Amino acid sequence: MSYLVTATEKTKQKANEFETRSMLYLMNFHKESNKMHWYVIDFFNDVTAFDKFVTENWDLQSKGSKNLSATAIGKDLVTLYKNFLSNFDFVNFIIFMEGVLPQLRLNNTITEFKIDNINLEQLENLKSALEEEAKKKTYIENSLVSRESIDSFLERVVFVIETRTKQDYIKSMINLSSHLMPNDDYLSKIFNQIRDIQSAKKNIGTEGELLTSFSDFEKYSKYISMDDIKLLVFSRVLHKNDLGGMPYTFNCVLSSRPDIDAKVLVEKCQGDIYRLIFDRSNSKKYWEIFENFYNLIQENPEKSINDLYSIVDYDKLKQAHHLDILSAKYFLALIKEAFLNENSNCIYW
Amino acid sequence: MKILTVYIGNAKEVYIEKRLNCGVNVISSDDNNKGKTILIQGMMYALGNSPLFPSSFNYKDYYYITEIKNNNQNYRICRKNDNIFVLDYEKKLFIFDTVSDFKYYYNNTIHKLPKIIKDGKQKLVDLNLFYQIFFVGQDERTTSKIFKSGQYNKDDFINMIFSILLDDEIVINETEEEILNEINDLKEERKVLISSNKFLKSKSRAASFINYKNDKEKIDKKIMVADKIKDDIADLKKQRSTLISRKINTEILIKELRSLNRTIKDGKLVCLDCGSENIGFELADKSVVFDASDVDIRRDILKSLEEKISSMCDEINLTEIKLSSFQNQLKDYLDDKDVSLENIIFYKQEIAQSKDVDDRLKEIDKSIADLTAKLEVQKCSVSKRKNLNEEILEDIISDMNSFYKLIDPNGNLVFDNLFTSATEVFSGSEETEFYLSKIYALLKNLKHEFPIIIDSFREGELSTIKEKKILEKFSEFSNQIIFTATLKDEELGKYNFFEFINNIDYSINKDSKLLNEKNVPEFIAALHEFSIKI
Repeated sequence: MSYLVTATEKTKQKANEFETRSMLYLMNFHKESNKMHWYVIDFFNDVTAFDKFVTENWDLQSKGSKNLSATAIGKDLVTLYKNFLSNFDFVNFIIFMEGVLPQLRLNNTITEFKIDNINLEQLENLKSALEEEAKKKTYIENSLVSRESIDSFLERVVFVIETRTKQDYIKSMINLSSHLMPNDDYLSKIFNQIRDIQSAKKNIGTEGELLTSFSDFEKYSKYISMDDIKLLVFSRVLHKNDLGGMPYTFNCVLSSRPDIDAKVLVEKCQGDIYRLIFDRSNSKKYWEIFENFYNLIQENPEKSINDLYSIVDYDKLKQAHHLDILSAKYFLALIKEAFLNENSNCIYW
Repeated sequence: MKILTVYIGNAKEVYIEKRLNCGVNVISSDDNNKGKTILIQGMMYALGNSPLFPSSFNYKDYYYITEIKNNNQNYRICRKNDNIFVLDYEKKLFIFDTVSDFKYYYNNTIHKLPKIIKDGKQKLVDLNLFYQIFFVGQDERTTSKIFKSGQYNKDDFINMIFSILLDDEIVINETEEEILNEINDLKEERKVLISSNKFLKSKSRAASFINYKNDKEKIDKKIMVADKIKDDIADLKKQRSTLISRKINTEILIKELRSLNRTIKDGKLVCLDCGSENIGFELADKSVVFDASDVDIRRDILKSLEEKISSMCDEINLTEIKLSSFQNQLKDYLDDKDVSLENIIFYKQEIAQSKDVDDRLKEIDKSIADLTAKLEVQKCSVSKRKNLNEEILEDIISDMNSFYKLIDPNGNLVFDNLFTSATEVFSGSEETEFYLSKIYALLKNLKHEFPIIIDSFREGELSTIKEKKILEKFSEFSNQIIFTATLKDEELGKYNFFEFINNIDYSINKDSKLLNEKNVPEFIAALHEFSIKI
């Protein structure tokens, strides 16, 4: 006697995963990824990216279906079109799709294109579908909907077809040589952690809120910053790769304490760091310290561990009571070594 | 083990040898100075051997990479001076600062190395001794010693062979020598007593003082030896307590980590909108709060800590075994050696009573009898082991002789040991035949899987007929074979007729210039995999 599990919300799960892919696409593979800083989730659209000072924006709609026809695409463009018609100045529009029917494109090898790569007949179907859908929706004023406005809207839309794996996105966030990169299985788990945070953001209710400018999004905490994701990936890979060997940059600390048995000292520092990362009720403290150390190391690449320790944020360090001066230096050395591996891939002799 | 590829070079010049196959390889050239020895020495140097490069080659300026296949797994090993890097089949990188560190990795991962007793302790043999089982270089050859002796001698080599075949742990025990010393001391005391008896009867006090002084010297010496054992015991105890405290600290750490990981069950903050427990206190600049670690990381850390505890337990056990053996030694030593103490006290009494001399003499005689019996038992077990050893040696030597007879039916040498005596050294073609026979006999008896590497295997002008027999005999085994030879003009191309031989021709190499700029980018890319940038 057995029971088959059916009628689960598996489409939702797929959609969530696809939305994470689209956010990571914006973070890493868009032409202007470097400018983007804030990624607002399920607010203006599925994902909307802003630069650090909220002067530029990229609005994205994601659709995780494989065989999209021109009519289906037309319908899905409606939220982007709504933003185009709105009072706020939306600049860039992107629709991110899993796959399209073969007859849609003129050149089937191009995966990022504007309407000039769409078959004219299909384009007509697309425009009609969009017009019909826009007229149906109550959140768009019917009087604003017209062929002319649709045409000028479509000039600005970039169509993107997904070509990458989950692991590609994570790998592109940090730059490590292949034998230091964790296996695909684990990279997929990191992806899932990002996906879970992104979909949790969607639970914050904001329907009906009135904004006076773009930067009002900040009040609702429905956003993720690029730094948080980069730190997450870096931290996960750092601790997964930590085989218990001592980072060689820690030598300068060891050599100043010849009285202590090196093995005992290193084990104590490792133990302190394990306590810090196992303490899930104090994760916030971990990230504060980690972010502080990471930024210091990035900004001062030539400084030694001892010099770096003299400029860390002691308040944050004190609050995480697991670390003392030696284990803090050890943690600095761990991050610095991973950082060296990321940015140079080699040990210099 | 099979050797697949060898790289030698630095940023300016490189040589890459990829043509070796897993069968019989003969590297030949029409002249000397074509680089064959550099290749062979470089290949073995990367694997941890001691270097013996030609003096015209500055070997310290170069990196050496050897790629091997061992038990169907590929390893790449890179060496520069004393730094060794290993890329294993999972592409994990290991770095070693000394050849000794590499030796332990080799023992754990690639092939178990034999142990011999050296300086009173049981130790793993060094790689440069182990490799002499199947590797014969070209220079500094001598049939009466092991090559590049250093800390080892030929007895160590022979003991290593026994250790491989008998595969048992040799426990340090009182040697025959020590028991004999004890017996001698007692006999001396006996003599002294008997003569002192005479003295006493003559009441010569001067003589008794002389005897007293003798014994005092003996006591001092015995105390020194006992002290050394006590120091060893103290060191081991310190080592053991450090290990125990590290083990306890690790156990405490694991308990703490497990408790930190548990979410507290009574009373929790819940979001009133969606019921989620994921409440993070968010400052204005923080948009997300992730856990500081995920399940995989925590699991890996706990697993590695538990493995550390097991390995520490093993080390503690080993230390305790050594400790109790030392303690037993000390106990026995003090028990038996109280003779001198007794002696002193006795002498003082003796001056008063001579009757005790007879009692003492009886005691001494009994002790001598007991010790002699112990010696017999000891001799028996030592001789049993000696017999096994002799059998092994006989088998190997007889295989050496039969191989020799096969390749040189008219030869009149007879081998009686793995090494010749210091005065009777072979040279020329006899020397070469000696090494070939020895390597063959070792291969046949040890049944090892290492490649047979002989640099200049026909030195002394071995004839073509002999060569053919040698190559055929060696290729009966499935081991990889790498031989080199310098051919005369008329011999060039001779190996083309033997299908089973992979002839690699070094004649086209420039004289004294094996490395060149051609393959430098490929070499730099290979070093890149080891995270080395030059």
